Amino acid sequence: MKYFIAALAAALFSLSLGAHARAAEERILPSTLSVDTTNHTAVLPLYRGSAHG
Amino acid sequence: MIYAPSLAQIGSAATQSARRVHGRLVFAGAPNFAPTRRFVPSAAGFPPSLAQPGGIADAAYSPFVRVRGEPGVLNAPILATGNAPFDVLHHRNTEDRVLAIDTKKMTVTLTLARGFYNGKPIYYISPDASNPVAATVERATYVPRLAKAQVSATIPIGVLADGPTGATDGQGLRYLTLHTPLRADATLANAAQLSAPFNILSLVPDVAHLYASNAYSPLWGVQVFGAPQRARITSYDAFAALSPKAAGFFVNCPVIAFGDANAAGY
Repeated sequence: MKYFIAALAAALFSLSLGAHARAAEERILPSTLSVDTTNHTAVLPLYRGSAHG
Repeated sequence: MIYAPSLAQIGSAATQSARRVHGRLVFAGAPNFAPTRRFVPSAAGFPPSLAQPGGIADAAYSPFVRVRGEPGVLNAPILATGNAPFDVLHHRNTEDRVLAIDTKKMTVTLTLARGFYNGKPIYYISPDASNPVAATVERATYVPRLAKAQVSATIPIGVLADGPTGATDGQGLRYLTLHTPLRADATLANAAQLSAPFNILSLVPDVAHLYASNAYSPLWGVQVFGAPQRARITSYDAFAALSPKAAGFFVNCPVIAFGDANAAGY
């Protein structure tokens, strides 16, 4: 199994108003769960997949 | 997600294919995180005497994915392979930026890169590069397939080769290689000390209009200015005025967050 992070950019996507509003308030972008500006780290969602068929 | 319409122009040679099976993606390629990342600076710092990336992608892999039967291009970098436990100290089955993985909450903690946009701090991640030296420096995966990206899908990012080296105003590759723990593996314990080259971004997502048509792309064409620079540069207009040169490679650096003038570490 392979783990990969959220799709961070897309040519096409579905609008998420909830994520939009939260990002504007916290100055972090959608798909980011939290940012630690002291340790310079971010927590992002993870997904499970597989590779090589 | 962030809308980046120019990614549609990246070209099939720089993307990988995937199919969705029971909701999960099955990728055509994958990185190998088993190699040991090694970095040895030269006397001048950069170019290094040795740079060996800790993650190397196979020929089919790209973080930019076209999913069969679905529109668009996704930016979905693989950050770990195999099953838990994941090595987040020496990164033998994780990318070198991965500091923690929680497979119950399904989250990953990554070390952030720090840079500037229009004079303000910016945070981004740097999971992939089309050049092995850049991949080593960025703790990223070396992805040969990314070199085939169309330039129209990229936007420029500025890098100083020989910027200031002070503890509070460091910037550029000489600073990063000679004055920060670039050789060390990234861990939660040393994350605050890892520092960054403080690159200069030319464009960032518009937080107020994230889903409007825009020119932002997470794929950056690296521009380098080589002559000594003794003061920080924090805007791309000022950097471009130096007449930098294209480095000839691309890095996948999605913007994550915006800082303010008092952000820690700036």
